[in-house]
Amino acid sequence: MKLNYLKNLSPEAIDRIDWDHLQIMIGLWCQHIEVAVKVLYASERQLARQVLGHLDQDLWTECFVKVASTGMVQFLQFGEGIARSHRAPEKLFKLLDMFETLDQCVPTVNTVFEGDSGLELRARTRELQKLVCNRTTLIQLVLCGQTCKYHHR
Amino acid sequence: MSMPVIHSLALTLYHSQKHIDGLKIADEAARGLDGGLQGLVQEKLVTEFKFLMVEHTLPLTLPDHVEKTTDGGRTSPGASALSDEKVQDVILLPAWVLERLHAIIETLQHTGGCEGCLGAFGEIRSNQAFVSLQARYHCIFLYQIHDFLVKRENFNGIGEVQISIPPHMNKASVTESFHLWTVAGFETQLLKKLES
Repeated sequence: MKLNYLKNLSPEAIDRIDWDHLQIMIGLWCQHIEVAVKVLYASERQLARQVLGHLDQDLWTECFVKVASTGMVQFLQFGEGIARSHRAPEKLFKLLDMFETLDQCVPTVNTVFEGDSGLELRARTRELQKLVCNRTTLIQLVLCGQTCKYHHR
Repeated sequence: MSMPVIHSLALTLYHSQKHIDGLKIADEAARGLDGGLQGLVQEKLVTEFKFLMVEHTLPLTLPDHVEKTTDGGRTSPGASALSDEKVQDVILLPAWVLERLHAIIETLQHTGGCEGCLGAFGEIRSNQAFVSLQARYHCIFLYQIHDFLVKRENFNGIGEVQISIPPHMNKASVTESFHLWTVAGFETQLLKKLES
């Protein structure tokens, strides 16, 4: 995985990126977050349970969440940056791709990061999904308004 | 409430506080009675834990994308829930390593030193999760184990271990120390290095 694109996290930085590059970045993000959640962090959780499972569940899940949170937060920050960046109509399909990916990931995130220590990551993923949904709806409304205006002309 | 009663209550409280302080001092003194031996043992166990984790766990080679499971032409979100098939078995440890790790954790649990193991686990796996994400097949880990700087290199999952011996130690004492650890694989490689 080449994760260099995750350096551009703020909406302002994302607005400066050329649209062709941004499309590629969003495509990569959709693939990578799914692999990270479903393969990497699921496996890391299994290992943590295998090694530290004799301890109290809160202790080992907290340890696992610390292992996973650095990478996971970066993925979420990039997603938030995309969703909060300039609301351009051409982003509609990419936002829909992001929504679909998050829809696929949320059940796994809820399972992998279960417990009190994973609460923040679960909530943040859900919030990102809502944010993407909200942005998509707004773009659709703008497009709808423009179509109506053209029709009444 | 009359003044003498308040005075007597205050006096009782003062004595109780003094008694509690005395108990705390006695407890601290009792901890120091072993001359720091317990701390030393805990440290050694945490080092052994760290060593086993470094030696027997590797970063994962991740696929580029996850195969989507389709349900009648529609991707089913429920199918993405954690299942054993998706989890990479290579990350799991052999039974004998697990036995040793569990024995260390249980011993430390009785003496209240589990934080060291949790910290070591977090540190090692965070590094390796980062490496897995970056897909750096040639990676170098540096760990300070006892007095030796252990350098572990992975070339597509094939591990190689190098040990820097401090100038004040001779080869024989280093070999002896590692023999005491009796860690299979690692020991053989170490001996090869020392012979060459």
